[in-house]
Amino acid sequence: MTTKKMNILIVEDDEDLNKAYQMIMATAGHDVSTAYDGKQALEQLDAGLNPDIIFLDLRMPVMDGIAFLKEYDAPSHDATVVVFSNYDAQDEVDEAFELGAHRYVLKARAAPKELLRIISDIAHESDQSDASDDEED
Amino acid sequence: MLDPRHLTNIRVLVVDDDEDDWLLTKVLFSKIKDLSLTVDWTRSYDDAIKQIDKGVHDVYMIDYRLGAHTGMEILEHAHPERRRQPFILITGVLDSELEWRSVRLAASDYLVKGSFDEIALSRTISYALQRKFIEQQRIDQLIELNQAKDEFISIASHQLRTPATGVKQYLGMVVEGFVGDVPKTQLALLKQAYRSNERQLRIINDLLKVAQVDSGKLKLQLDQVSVEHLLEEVIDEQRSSLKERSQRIKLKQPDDLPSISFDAGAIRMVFENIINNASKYSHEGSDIEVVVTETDETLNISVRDEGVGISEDDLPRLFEKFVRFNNPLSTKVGGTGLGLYWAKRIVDMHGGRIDYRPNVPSGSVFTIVLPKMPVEKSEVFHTQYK
Repeated sequence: MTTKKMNILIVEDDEDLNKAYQMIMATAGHDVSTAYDGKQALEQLDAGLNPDIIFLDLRMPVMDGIAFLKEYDAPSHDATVVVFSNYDAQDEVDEAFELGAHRYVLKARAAPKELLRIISDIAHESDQSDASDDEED
Repeated sequence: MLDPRHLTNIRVLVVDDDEDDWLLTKVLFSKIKDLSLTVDWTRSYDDAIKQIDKGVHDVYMIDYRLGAHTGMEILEHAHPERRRQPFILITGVLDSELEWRSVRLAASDYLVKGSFDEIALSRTISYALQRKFIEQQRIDQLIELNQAKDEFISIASHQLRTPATGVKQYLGMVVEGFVGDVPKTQLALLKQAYRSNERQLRIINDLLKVAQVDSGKLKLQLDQVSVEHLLEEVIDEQRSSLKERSQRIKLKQPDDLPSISFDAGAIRMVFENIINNASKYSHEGSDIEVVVTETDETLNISVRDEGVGISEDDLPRLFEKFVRFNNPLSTKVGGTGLGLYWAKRIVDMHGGRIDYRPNVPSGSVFTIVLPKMPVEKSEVFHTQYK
C-alpha cells in the first residue's frame, strides 16, 4: 500500500533520535518539520505550519509534551497527535490522551517500519474520513 | 520514633493472662522511680492484638503463655521486620530455645518471672527503648541508602535508553533497506547488532519498570477485563517465537469466565513474562500448557512447561531481584533476573499471588492467582530486609 504524502512535525529533544525520525519519514517521501521542544513546536504552528501528524516526545526540556498539549489544544486542530511513550510512563500517556493525543508508540519497540506503518494507518483513516465527508456533502 | 531520652512518659502494655503474676509485676513497676511510666494491663490475646494495632504504647511486655495462644504469636503478628516499639518476652522458666526464637522474632529482651527486681525492670525498659531507637536510625539510613541506589539505577537507565533507541533507529534503517541493499554477509552482522540492541533495550526497560514499582510510583489502572481474551492475545503474539523453537502451546479455559477488575497493561506483561519464561527455559519441541480455573474468589492461570525447572535449593530466592539460577539453558537465555520479581510485585499489588510447583516429570508450573475483587495494596514498606 503506498501512502500519500503527509505533513509531519517531529517534536523530540534528542538530536540523534530527531534526525533518525526525520530520515525515516523523509526517505518514505513525507514532508517533515522538526522541533526540539514543545515551545519550538508551538512557534512553528503559530507561524502557520499545518501538519497532518505530530510525533510528540513527552519528556523534553523547556516545554514538555504535556505542557505542549495544554497550550496546543489538540481537539480544536486536525493534526493527529502520536505520543512517544515508554513502559514506565503510563500516567503521562493517560494524561496526554485526556489532552487530545490520539495514539501512542513505544519508543523502544518502534522500528522504522513500525513508524511508517503508523503514518500509513493515519493516512488511510484520514482518506476514509474525507470520503465519508464527501458522501455527507 | 522519638529519642527515648525525650520521652516524658513511657506507656507500657503488659500482656499476661495470670492476674497474680500481673499483680507482682505491678508492684515492681510501682517501685520504679527513675522512669515516668504509665502501665496498662490486658489478659486477653485478642485485646492485646487490638491494642498493638492501635500502636499507642511505647513498650510491650508479653507473657509467653496466653491461654490458647502464646506470646510468640503476638511477636509474629507485630511485624518483626518493621515494628518500631520494643517487645519484651516474659516467661515462667528459662528456656534457651524459646529465648532464641523470641530474638529471631525481634524481641528486644527475654525476662524470667521472679528473677528480676524493679531496678532490673527499669534498666530493661530503658535499654530496650534505646536499642530500638538506634536500630531504627540504622534501618532508616539503610532505607535511604536503598532509595538512593534505586534512584541511581533509574537515572542511569533513563540516560542509557535514549542513545540505545537511537541505535535501534539507525540500524533499523539499514537492516530494513531504507538506504539501499547491503551485502548479505554484512547484513547478517548488522541484524545481529540489531538483536543485541533490542536485548539492551529490554534490559533497560526491565530496570526502569522495577525502579518504578520499587519507588511506589506505579499506580494500577483498574478496568473490567476479560482474562480469556487477554490470554488469547498474549499467546497469539508469542506464537512466532514459539514456532522458532518448535514448541507447541495449548490454552484450556472454561467457557463464560467472568471479566474481572485489573490493570490490563500490567497483567498482560505478567502473562507475557511467565509464558516467555516457560518457553525460554524449555527445550525445542516441548509443550506448554496454559490452564485457567476458577474458584469463588479467584481466577487461577497456570502455565505448565516441560523445561529445566527450578531446583529446590533455589526456590526461596525465586522471586528475588537480580536473581538468576544456573541451569542448562541459563547462559543461552540471558536476562536480568528482574522479570519474576516485577511480575510478583504487580500481582501482589492486585491482592493476588504467584505460586510455584514443579511439573512432573520435569519443568515448572507457575500459577497466577488473581482475586475477582482486587484491592490495591498500599505498601508501607517498600524495601526488603530479611
